[in-house]
Amino acid sequence: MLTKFLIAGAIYLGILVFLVRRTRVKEKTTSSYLLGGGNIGFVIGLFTTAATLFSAFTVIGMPDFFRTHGIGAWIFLAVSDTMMVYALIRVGEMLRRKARKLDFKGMSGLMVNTYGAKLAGYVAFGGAVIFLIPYIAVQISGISIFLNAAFPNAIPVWAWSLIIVGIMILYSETGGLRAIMYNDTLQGILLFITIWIIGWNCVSHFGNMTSMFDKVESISNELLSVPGPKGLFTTQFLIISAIAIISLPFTQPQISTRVVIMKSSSALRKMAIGLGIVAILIILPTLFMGMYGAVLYPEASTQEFIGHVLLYDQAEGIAALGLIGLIAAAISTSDSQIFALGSELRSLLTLGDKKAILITRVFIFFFGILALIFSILSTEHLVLLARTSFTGTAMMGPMILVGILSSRKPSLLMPIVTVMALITFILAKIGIIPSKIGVLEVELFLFSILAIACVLEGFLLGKAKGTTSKN
Amino acid sequence: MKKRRVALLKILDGLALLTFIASFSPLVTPEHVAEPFILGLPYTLGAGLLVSFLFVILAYLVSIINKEENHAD
Repeated sequence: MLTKFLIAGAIYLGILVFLVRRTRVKEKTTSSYLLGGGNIGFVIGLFTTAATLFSAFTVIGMPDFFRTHGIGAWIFLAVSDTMMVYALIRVGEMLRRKARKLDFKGMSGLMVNTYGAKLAGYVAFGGAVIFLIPYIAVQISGISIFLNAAFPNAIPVWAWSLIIVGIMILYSETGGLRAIMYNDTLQGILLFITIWIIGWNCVSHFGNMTSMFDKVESISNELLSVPGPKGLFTTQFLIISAIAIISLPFTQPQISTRVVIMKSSSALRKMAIGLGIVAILIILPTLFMGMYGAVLYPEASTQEFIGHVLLYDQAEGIAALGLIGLIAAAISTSDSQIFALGSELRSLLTLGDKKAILITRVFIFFFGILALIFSILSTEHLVLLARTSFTGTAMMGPMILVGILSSRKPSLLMPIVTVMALITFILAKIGIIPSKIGVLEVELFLFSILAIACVLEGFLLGKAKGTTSKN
Repeated sequence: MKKRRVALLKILDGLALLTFIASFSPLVTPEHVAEPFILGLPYTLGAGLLVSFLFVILAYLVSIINKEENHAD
């Protein structure tokens, strides 16, 4: 299988190199290098956003989540993703309007401009760095450990991580956002084809879907309802996840940048609808893979199960494609996140464009190295860490939304409450304070506080408007 | 015309909110209940699939209504 993987890998790398050469930016400016020229059509927009959204956590994590916790995983991700599409189409236009008005370079810079205070920008940037770096790292480590298991005698885990980060940094530094987006399109198509071939094979093993669920029912009836055999999918868990995922287009900079740089509002609308359909189509085969694993490998570790479903139970050609698809999934999300962190930093810099871009490129390299170091050290569970990342950045959602939606300059209430919410969330995650406040999970408690702060801010803004009109 | 558009958007937002609430209520996610099967799918999965499609349809309807609005381009 190694030979087929190397051939498929060489073709994949060849196409990557070709795309980087085609999209190479000679004169690197904020607009051409960090914002991809700001003229992205519907098709590229759809695939780059989908590839950025559906990462290794979808390919490895979701089948394992379905296998271990059952069909509630559909509500956890697919339903939440389609809710996100509704939010994207409702608020995306307002974000674009604000971005046009305030010369968008990144969400952090936009927050500085809307709040008229650096604190808001630092909160947005700090939150993104704290919650994205571990998520990037765990994806790289997940794929590297898996590649090492697939080819135990080839190279060590850290060397796989180094290769993946090396590829990411190289083409991000060379081609900028446009190169990333074209590569995302390639990776998105590859991921889609691979995941459907494997998912289809999993259903075929049982004959049809009805037989598949009959078989799962005979093994563990609990897999076919919530909260699942381990009781994970409680109502609170699902609501927190939904809020976190709905906020993604505004709280994760790699997605908000794509919303802003779409060529037109019509392209954005088409992209959003397409994203909803793609979400359903990408998550469905991971359900098939999970149910297959629940019947055939109920007691196996994640790595053993993924090894079987992606590699050993597939024809060699498909397995090689599966591996490339997996690498593509990890790279397409991680590179966008690392690059977005660079853009966020740029949006906070008030230097000349040339110097700011130089600093940004140095930091993109630095963020890549940071992710590499974390990936060598990390051991966290992929899906749950991804959820922590989404939830952590979602704490910034109310502050960002107030900034986008208000026509006046808001007070510092939201940035201050957001900092406190972020600190509380981190303390709860590392176990210094309890993860429950009364009957509420700490995340829901914090979302409630942030919602109250939003209402207060709305009241303050309304009062200020009243005073101005009286004058 | 603008009033009509705003009203329609409010109706769609209301529907989206109701669907959101229903998604986490026993209507879509009853605990420990796998039956009845919908088209061969366990109840929560079948209902969840319908909710997913419903949100895409709602988003599509918003996009049609918003087409007429002055946009950011």
